[in-house]
Amino acid sequence: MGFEVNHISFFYGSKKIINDISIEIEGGKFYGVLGPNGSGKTTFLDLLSAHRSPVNGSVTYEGKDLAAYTKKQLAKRMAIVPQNFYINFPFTVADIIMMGRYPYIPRFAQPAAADWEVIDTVMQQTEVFEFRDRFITELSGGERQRVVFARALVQATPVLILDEATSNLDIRHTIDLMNLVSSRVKRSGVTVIAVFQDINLASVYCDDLIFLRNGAIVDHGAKDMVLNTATIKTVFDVDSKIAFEPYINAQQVFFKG
Amino acid sequence: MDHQGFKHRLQNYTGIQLLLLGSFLGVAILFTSGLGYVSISFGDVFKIIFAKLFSQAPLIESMDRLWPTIVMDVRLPRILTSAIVGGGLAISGVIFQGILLNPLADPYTLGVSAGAAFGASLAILLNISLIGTFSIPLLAFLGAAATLFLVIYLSASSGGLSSNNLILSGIIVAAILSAGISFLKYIADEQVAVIIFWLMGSFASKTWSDVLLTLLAVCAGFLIFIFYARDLNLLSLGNRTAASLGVKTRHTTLWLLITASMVAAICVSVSGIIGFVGLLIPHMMRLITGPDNRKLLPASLLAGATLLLIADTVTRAVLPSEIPIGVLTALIGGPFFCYIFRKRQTGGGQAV
Repeated sequence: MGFEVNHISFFYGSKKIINDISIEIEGGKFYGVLGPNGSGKTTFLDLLSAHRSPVNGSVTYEGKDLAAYTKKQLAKRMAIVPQNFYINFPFTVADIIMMGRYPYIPRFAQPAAADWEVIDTVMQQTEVFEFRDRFITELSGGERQRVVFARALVQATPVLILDEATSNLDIRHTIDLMNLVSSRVKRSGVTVIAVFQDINLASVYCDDLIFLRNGAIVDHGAKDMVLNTATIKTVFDVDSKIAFEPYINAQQVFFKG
Repeated sequence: MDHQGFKHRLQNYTGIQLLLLGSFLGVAILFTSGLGYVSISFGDVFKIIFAKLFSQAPLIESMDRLWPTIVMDVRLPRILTSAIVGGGLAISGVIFQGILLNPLADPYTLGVSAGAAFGASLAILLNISLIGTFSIPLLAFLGAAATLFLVIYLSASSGGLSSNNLILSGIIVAAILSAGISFLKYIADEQVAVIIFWLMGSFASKTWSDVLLTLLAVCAGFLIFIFYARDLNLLSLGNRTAASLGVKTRHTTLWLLITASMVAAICVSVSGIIGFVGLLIPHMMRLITGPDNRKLLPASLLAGATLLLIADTVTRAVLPSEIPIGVLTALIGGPFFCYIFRKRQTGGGQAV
């Protein structure tokens, strides 16, 4: 099932951001969205998560138009890890992560024991457990990013949308979180749709790649099929060489400066 | 770390905190009812109120005939109005700070006070008396409401209401209105004193109908705020994330903004412009309860009520002559705000 995107377009004022995109996104796969700055990646994610509605065309999830879902229903189906994150109020880390469980907790109820269990497990997996009582306003950018990641994971949704979610993280935390997400794809059939700046990181973790340029899809499909120098040249306008690296069992791209 | 641990322990005792704040407010109401030109003891005040509430006339037969009138008809309406207005301004401040993602916002950020002041000035200048003594409050309220909708109209874009747009529109509209007020004062001649006096705020000669009006507005506002309190917590993560967690962001923002502005507008229309309560109380309470709006709202309601009640009592019964309450709150609140702001800049505490 998954998503079916039918001829969607989106405008900011008169500027066309998304230009007639159609694609089928199957469930249980790790998708990487790649493209230069301003190619419409974030808007594309916003349209998939129903945060914005397409001007033309439609997006269906599990056979039903996104517009037909309530916000509450969507909150149990998709979680988002945004790129920039700033919180002005001194909530504790545990407070913030518990907010990921709100879709499951009635408005005036307290979190149940099961909710605490979920957030404890995720806090340990994302290594935020040791600073769970600190204020979010006092954390470094990378620590905050892990908290936001954890908040999305406790939402326990079949779809996870990452908008450059690891851009603030050091390499070890990036790998840890990507492994965590990747294991959810393999074990629990979670669908991940992630925007990457780092093509080589995407090549390691993704099953499929989607290349965007000027709000349109240049190419998409299994990564071994679509990751080639011609596509890189068209999408990013840089010269490159692609080679299989046995050490990591994935293709890597080398760029000419 | 100790410091933090302490704060955490504090934040776990919401029930006790609210009980303490509530009892403090209750005692303050009884105590201040005894203060004034005629001094009445705490016990006698209690007896008078009890006797009136439960029709126990014999209880107060032995005391001065004037006392029940002083307490019930003169002091209590003023005391209760000041308390309710204080609570209303404080909870409305919590909402504005939450929606605008800005701990420095207050109920007047969107120009509600300027709108109310313009309406009131106009009513005084043109000597409008359509509905008697309610004419000035009514025009003040209409001015505030019109300002709010103008500000929302100016800042609405396809992407929703951004806090920057709202703050900017609020500042522009307030600037225009304050020029308008200056003009009204300029052409007002002898009426100018009345306008200035109204602008500085006062609880003098408030009646039970003022109590009732503000009580209804603040209660209704509080219920709506509490209903949306959890959504307001989520809005502090940003619109996009809040929406992904099931919040109808536009709907929630609009409801909260309109309700908070209406509460502030009604408070202003009854009492004139009283600054700093809506800014300071949420700040101070956030240090005690933490930023969770479900705890912050009731705490701010009670603390705001107590603070404004005490401030009004100071000007009514303690100072040799009454000074306008708006001036008093700004004179005390302003420097205090500078102090906590400076403390924050020098890293002496968490961001509040």
